[in-house]
Amino acid sequence: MSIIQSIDVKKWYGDFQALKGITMDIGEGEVLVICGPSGSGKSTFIRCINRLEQHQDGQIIVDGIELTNDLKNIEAIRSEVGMVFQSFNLFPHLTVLQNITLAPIWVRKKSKADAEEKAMELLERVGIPEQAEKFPGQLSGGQQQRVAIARALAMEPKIMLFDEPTSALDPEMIKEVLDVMKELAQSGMTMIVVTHEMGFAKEVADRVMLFDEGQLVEENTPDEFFNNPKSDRTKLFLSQIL
Amino acid sequence: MSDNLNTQESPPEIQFAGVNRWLKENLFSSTGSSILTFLSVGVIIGLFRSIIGFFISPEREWTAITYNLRLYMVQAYPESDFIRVWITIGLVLGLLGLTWGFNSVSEKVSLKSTSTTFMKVFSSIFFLILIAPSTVVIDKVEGTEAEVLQQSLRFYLLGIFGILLLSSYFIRTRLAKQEMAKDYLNILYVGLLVVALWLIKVPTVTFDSSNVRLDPDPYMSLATSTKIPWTFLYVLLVATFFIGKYLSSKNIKSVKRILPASWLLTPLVVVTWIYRKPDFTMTQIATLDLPIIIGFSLIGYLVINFLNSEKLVQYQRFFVYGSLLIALVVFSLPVVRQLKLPLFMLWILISIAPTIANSKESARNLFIVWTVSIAILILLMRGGASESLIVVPGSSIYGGFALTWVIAFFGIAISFPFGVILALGRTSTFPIIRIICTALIELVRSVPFITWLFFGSVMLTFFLPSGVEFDEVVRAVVVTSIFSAAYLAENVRGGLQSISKGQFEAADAVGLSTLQRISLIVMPQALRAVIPPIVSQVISLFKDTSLVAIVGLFDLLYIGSKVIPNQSQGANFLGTIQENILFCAIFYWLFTYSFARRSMKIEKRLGLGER
Amino acid sequence: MKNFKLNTAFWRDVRFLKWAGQILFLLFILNLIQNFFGQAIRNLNATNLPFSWRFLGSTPGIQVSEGFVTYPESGLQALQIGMANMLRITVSGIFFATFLGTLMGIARLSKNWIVERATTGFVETVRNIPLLVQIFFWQAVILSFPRLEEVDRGQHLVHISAKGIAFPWLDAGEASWLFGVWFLLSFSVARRVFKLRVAKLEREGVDTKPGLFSMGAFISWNIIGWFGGYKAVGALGLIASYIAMFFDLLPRIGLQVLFISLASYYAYKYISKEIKRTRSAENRGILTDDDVFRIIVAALLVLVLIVGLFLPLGTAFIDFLIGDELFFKADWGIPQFFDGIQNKLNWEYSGSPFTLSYPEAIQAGTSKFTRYSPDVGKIMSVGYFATWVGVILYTSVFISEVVRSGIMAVAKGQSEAGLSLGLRRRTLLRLIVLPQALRIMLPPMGNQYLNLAKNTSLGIAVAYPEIVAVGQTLYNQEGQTIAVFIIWMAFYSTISLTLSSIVNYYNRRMRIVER
Repeated sequence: MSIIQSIDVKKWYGDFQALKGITMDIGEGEVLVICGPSGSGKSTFIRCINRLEQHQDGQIIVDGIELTNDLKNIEAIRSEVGMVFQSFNLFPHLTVLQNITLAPIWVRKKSKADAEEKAMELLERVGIPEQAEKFPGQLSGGQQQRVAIARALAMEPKIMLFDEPTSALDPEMIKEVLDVMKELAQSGMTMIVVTHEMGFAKEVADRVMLFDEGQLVEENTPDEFFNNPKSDRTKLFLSQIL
Repeated sequence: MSDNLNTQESPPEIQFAGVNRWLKENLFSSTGSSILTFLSVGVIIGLFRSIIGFFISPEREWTAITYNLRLYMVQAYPESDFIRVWITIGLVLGLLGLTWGFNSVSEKVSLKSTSTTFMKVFSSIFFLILIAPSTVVIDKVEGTEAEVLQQSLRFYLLGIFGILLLSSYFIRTRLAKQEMAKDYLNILYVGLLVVALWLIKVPTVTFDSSNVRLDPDPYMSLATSTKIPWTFLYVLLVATFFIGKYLSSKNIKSVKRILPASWLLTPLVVVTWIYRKPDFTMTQIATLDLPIIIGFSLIGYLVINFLNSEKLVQYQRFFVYGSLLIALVVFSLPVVRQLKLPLFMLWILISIAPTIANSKESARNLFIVWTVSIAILILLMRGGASESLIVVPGSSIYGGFALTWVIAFFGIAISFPFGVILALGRTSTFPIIRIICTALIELVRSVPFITWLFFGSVMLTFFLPSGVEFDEVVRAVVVTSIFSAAYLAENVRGGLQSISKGQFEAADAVGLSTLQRISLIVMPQALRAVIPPIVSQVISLFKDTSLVAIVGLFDLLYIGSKVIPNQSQGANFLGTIQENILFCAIFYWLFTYSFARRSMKIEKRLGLGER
Repeated sequence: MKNFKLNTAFWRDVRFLKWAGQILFLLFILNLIQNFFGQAIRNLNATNLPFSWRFLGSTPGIQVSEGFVTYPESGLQALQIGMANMLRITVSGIFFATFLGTLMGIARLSKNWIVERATTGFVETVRNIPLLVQIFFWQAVILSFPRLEEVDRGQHLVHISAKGIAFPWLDAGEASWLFGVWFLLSFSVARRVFKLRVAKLEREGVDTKPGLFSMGAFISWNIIGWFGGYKAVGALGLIASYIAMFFDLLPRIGLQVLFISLASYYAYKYISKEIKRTRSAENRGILTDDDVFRIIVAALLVLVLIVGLFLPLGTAFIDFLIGDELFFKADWGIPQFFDGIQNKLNWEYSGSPFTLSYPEAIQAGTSKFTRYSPDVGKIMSVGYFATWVGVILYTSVFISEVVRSGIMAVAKGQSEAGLSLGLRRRTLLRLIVLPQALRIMLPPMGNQYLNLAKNTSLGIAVAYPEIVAVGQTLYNQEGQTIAVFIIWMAFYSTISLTLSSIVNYYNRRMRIVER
């Protein structure tokens, strides 16, 4: 059964059409990797899923709720869907622990003690419990991204979106973030990952998609995608990136 | 520590390369530079000579200032209630001492740097005495001169400061490594000031039994009538300093919250209870205020304990909006003032209670905070609304420096929330709100402050329902805060724009509501980023308060420029405008300069502006 | 809207909520405004002094101590005197404050210890004392000079007394306007020569001394002009007279329609361009800044301009706007404007464009008092002096801060780069540091100019009749406080909008150059 359904989603910026009708289904517990050249609409699409951007035509249904302008639906979706950004976007004026507990306390109305206990658990899980009292500015990029993952997980989302989580990182830090993401995928989380890390896609993804110029060009299993792509556009893309 | 393996080399100590080299590098590096040096030395000496000449000329009537100091500070505040002024100062000094002691970091300063400072001061004075003119022209047309500084006196003074200079140089070289706690040094400095009040004698205006001014003025100590209270206040300051130190050593956390709260509260308490001497009628307090306090305290108790239950928490949104609506409706209804503000506070309590009060202990704490703040609020309003028992003929009870700080403080304090709201409105994504806020800000900013003061003093009453009239000080505060809010909004907007789009998105992505996003994520960062411009705005607003002199309020400058130079009764100070303006200038300068220096230091310590 | 579906309950639809909230807010604000102004009108009617603009047309019976007229014949003229006085101080203030501020800014970066310390000391002193105190101080300084009665009568070169400062001045001859235009042209001539020489330098690689040559061109051009060359400008006057004749031939109404449609077309174009620019910005918070407001005011200004210039058509409209009798004179207009130019720039004028006259202390009428003769020399009144010196010094210290930080912001890395290329210090400053520093300095500099313009209003404290002072005298006489306040607001808004548009224009131009 599918947890995210997208039917003919279209989006314009002024006169420029960023999404030209995207239709796809994502099942529960599935790990989906989206790749594609920059400006192909892949980031726009996943940002539409938790309504950081509004699509203008078509339907997106997340966990049985359709994304409309309904205030209630938007709030419901936001707490179901966690998001990790390319540039981390941690709150610099709060400590790591406060970053993680903020939303559970103010949105989920958890008690501070509960939220902190859970946050420490998550920090343990992403491997940096000793950094809890530090400020984001004092951490390395890889550590910051792991805190961002913990922050998203603290809301206990059903779906996690990753928007190029490793693009802003130094090579030696990419691995520590990818390890956390792999562990997360193995635990059965539904994930949509926009990334250029083909190794990750090969190893973890259930499906790989290629976006180009606002369209879904290819949708395939990792094996087929890398070894036996259907479209020429994918071949070209793979030849450029590998 | 000495046996640590320290592989890092310490940088070589900078050697003083000798006078010759310093002069060559800094004053005579090229022909042009040398000419500039000689020129500017000439200009500086000439300038200082005439300034000193001006100050010590026999034509100057400096007693105009010493005699009128009280007028300058509080204008016509009645003698019989003067204790209230002292209590006010005592309150502020006591708080200052507590804060200072509580935050003292036991920083040490070396005698070397202290004595270097002393050397600078002494050598400047030495230099000034050296170049001081011995005669000044007292009649420009005739060209008559008068001797103002006898050569023997000059040598005598030069000798004194020369010895002081030499001794500080001696301390600097011999006892360079000695250290002293900075706090005690500061206490010592302030103590020296107080001692000076007793010891230094100046000509003082005195009248004999038949009310004729003695001529020449007898020499009396600097603050004849106020030296005892000042000494007492000094003792208070020192005592509270040590209390603060003691509290901080005991590590009492609650002081950390109580201190800023008291700083906020003190001005309110001063203007409503102390300075105004309100006519407290106990029956009203007992029949009206006490029931309201108890009522709200009970409501608060219910809110804190029941809003958190599983059943009600899902309807929280309705409670929040509902209570806001009730507060707004009641605000526009003609009910007792004591009900209006507490309802807004209740709205805030309802919005935060379920989140904050989720354990027994925090619920109890929140309840205490709630009750105390409601009680204080209502009693403050009672004090503010009651008739003042102090009557000053012809003007407000605020005058002189007291007026200056009342306008500056309340102007800024009131403008703060409005400025933040305007800034948010101006950067809002809602076009109508944005246009309205932009228009308001730009209109207020494009017109000079003085026209707004005229608006307040002449036109504001037209816009209010007939019968509603405000005191002129209140009107000045109102326009000051309107004006300041517009400028503040621009500063805050700068901070808002410096926050990256990612922060907004991240806040959205974790599911915060708009209000939570603004108050938890955006505002804390934006305000932190704009502390330096806000500080300089506060300074410039402090300077701008002098403009109320133009609309005829008795502030420091009005007294200095219009009142004292026209005093002809008793002590005759007709035409002492130069002395008085200079005094005002020095007075304002001391305040703004030290405030600017202080805030610069704090900014540096916080590392602001460097991110 | 491509997917406007009503599948959600409208009270939960964010789009609905957004607009409903805004409209509610707008209604609330309108209601507030209506309440306030309704109250004001009721209160004013109760005081026997209903709101009216009539005082602008009637003779106010006040005296203005200085200005182009001292006994204004209408309220409007009184206010115009105030505006002119304010602008007089603002323009010269901006000029001197910039000069002084730049000098101090550079001095604060000087390597000479004593120069740097002395300037910093001066800056710290002046910036921390309220401007009003300083103005009072300068007033006290000049009042401490001997009274004029105690002074010898007769001619002086420069003379300072408690009445003010008197100094020699150029009296305009009939050819002064001709020479003035000639003089303005000399700047572009000098610039042109400079560019030509620089081009030659670049072409041939020899030092062509462009600075020297342009200076020479400037001086000789003006010398030629002084001794009769200005007559050439008379050609402009001739052209103007033909244009005036041409406009007189045209039917007036058609002309007005033409101009109104032209003006509205340009206003429309400007506004729609601005709106488009606003729409296209997608970022939150950064969009539109103050433009919306500027557009509205610009549109209003265009409207007033049109109505004011072409009154006969606009009478009804003015009545509608003001609800009272008119205060604009109907003899303003394009033909009159060109007639005026022709009058000023008549090629038949001759003689020395300016003559120097010296101040003179004379007996005032039959009384024993002495005063400066109003006909010769120039007298700077106490109020003007105090305000002028006050705002210049006060603004210049802030400008020095702007200059200092501007230069410091570029100086380091860029100077190193320039020096490594082997540029000389002077060339480096002119070609590398200054153009970049100017770009950084421009916006804060504009702010300081605005502050200066607003600060001239403190002249009221020392009886200098600028617009606030005149306005106050006027409303004390006539009781029309709110009308005067509206005029203040309109005047200062116009000034600050004009200044900020100039700054914005240059800012945008420089930024385009950068990309």
